[in-house]
Amino acid sequence: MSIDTPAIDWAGLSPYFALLGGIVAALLSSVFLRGPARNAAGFAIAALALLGALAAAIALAVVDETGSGMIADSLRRDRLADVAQIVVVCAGLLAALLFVREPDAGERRGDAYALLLSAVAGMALFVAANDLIVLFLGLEWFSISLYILCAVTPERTRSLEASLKYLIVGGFGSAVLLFGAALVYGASGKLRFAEIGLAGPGSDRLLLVTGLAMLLVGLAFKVSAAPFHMWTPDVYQGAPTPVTGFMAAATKAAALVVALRFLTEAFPGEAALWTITLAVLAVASLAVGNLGALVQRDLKRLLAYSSVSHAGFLLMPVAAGNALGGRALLYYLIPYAALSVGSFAVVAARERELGRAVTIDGMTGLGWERPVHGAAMTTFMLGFIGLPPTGLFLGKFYAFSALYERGWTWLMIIGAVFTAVSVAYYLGVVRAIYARPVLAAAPAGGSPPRDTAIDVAIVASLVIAVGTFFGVDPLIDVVTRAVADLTFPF
Amino acid sequence: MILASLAGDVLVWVVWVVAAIALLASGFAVVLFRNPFHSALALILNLGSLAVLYLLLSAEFVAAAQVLVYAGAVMVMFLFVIAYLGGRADAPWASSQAAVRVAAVVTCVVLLAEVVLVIALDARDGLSSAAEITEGFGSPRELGRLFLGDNLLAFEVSSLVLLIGAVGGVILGATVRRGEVEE
Repeated sequence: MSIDTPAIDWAGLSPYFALLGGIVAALLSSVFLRGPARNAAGFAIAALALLGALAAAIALAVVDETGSGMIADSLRRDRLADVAQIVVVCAGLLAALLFVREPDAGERRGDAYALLLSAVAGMALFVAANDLIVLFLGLEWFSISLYILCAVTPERTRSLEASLKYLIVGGFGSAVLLFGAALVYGASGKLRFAEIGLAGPGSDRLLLVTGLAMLLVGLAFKVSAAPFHMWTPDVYQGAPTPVTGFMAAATKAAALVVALRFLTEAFPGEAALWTITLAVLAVASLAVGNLGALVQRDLKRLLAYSSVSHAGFLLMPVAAGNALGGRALLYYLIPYAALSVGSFAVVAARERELGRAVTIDGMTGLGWERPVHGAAMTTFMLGFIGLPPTGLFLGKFYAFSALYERGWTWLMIIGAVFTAVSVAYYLGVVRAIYARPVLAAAPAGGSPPRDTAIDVAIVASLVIAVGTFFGVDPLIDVVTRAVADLTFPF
Repeated sequence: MILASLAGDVLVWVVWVVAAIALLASGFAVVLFRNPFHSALALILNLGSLAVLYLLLSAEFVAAAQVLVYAGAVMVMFLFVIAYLGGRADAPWASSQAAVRVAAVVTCVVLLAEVVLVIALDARDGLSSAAEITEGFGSPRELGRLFLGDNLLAFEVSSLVLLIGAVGGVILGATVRRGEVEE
C-alpha cells in the first residue's frame, strides 16, 4: 500500500526551520556551557535565529505575489502570514534584548532564550494556520512556551503565581477553543478554513454558530479582550518584564491576525453575527481597560489594563469586517507592538535601577535622571493615547474610518470617548516622569551599570513607533497587499 | 458452518458480558476504594475493559490507543504521583462538600437520561442526522493515511508541542530544585 504524502514547500517553511534550529542550539548551549558564556551564547543564538527568520519572512513577503497553501493546504504561505511573522519576530528580537541583563532570570537565561524562540515559532505557525487542528496546535505551542517563560524567574513567588494563573486560565481558554473547533468540524465536516466557508452551515446551523462562538471565546482569551481579560493584570504584573513586553505585543498581534483570517475565510456566511459580537467585545474591553487603568498605581498593571483597552481598539477594525478594517488592523499592530515592547523595556530598566516593582511614583524624575528613557516613555504614552508622532495616531484614524465605512458611528463615538478617558492615566505617567525627583525615589548605591542592550531595545522601539508615522505610505502599501487575498464580507 | 458462526456469536456475547461486568465493577471500585493506590489499579482494569468493548465494535485503533495511552502511560503517571504523595489523599468524597456531591449526582442523571434518550430515538428511527460510518472508518490503515497525508503537518507539529512541554517540565523541575537548595 502506498500513501500519497503531500508535497513540502521547503522555501515556505524556512522561517520555521530558522527558529527550530535556534531552539535546538539554544537548549544545547544551555546544557553544555556555564556562566557568562552560556548567557552570551544564548543571546547570540537567539538573535541569529530571529534575524534568520526575519530575513526569510521578508524574502517570502517579497516573493509571494499570490498566496499558496503548504503541506496539503494546512498552512498558508501568503503576505498576511509573512507580515504577521515579521511583526512577531521583531517583537521577539526586542524581547531578547531585554533578557540580556534580566537579573531575576539568573542561570535560567539560556533556557529563556530557547523558550522565547519556541514562542515565536509557535506564533509564526499560528498566524499561517489554515486548518482547525493547526490553529489549535499553534496556539498551544506558543501558550505552553509562555506559561513556562512566566515562571522562568523562580526567585519571585509572583512569577510562579503568574505562571500558574496563566496556565489555568489559558488552559481553560484553549479547551473552549478546541471544543468550538470540534463543533465546527462536526457541523461542516471540514477542517480547512476555506472548505468550512464553502460547506456552509449544512443541516445544523446552531452547531456551527455555537462552535464559532466558542472559537471566538478562545481567541478572546489570547487577545485579552474583556470579559476574558481577568488573567491579564495579574500575569502581566507577575511575569518577568521582558516576557510581559513580548506577550503584550506578539500574542495580541498573532491572535488578531488569525481571527481576521479565519473569520473572513471560514465564516463569510455568519459575518453579520461575528462582526456585532466583536463590536460588543470591543466596547467591553474599552470600558474595562480604560476604567480599570484609572485606579492603578503599579505601572505594569496600568500597562496591562491599557493592553486590554487596546484589545478593544484592535477589535474595532476586525468588527468592521471590510477591507479597510483589515488594512487598519495590520497597520495598527505594527506601532502598537513597538509601543508595548518599548514601554515595558523602560519599565524593565527602571525596575533594575530601583530594585523593586515600579509604581507611577517610581517613575518620578526619570525624565531628568535618564533623558532618553524619559523622552521615549513620554512618546510611548502619547502614542498609546493616539497622538502623533507615533503610528498609532494613524492606526486609530484608519480603524475609525473602517467603522465609518461600515456605518457604525456609534462604535466610533465610544472609541473616541474612551480615548479621552485614557488621556488621564497616560498623562499621569508623563507627569511623574517630569516631576522633580524626591530623594526617596532615587536609586540607592549610585548609578547602576549601563545596559546597552536595553537602551538599544528602547531606541529601536521608538524608531519603529515614530517611523510608522512618517513611513506610512509604504507601510499602507505593504498591508494593502497583505490583505488583498482575503474576501471581506462588508 | 452454522454451528461455527453460532459459536462465534456466543463467544462475542460472552466476551461482551464479561467486559461489561468488569467495566462496571472496576468503575465502582475506583470511587469506592479508600486507598487511592487501589483506586488507580481499579482504573487500569476499567480502562482495559473499555478497550475490549472498543475491540468488539471493531475500533481497533481506538482500542490500541486506549491501552497504550490511558491504561499505559497515563496510569503510570497516576501511580507515580500517588507514590510521591504517599497516599495522603483520602477517598474522593471524604472531604468534598454537599454541593459537589449534588453536582456529581445531577451530572450522572443527565448523562443517563441522554443515553436512554438516544437509544430510544434510535430504536424508533428518530435520529435525524445519525452519523454515517463507512467501512474502514477508524481503522489503523485509514488513520495512518490521514496522519501521513492530509494532516501531516498537524501530526508532526504535535510532536513538537509535546517536546516543548517536556522541555518546560524539565526547566521548571530544575528551577524548583535549585530554589530548595538556596532556602
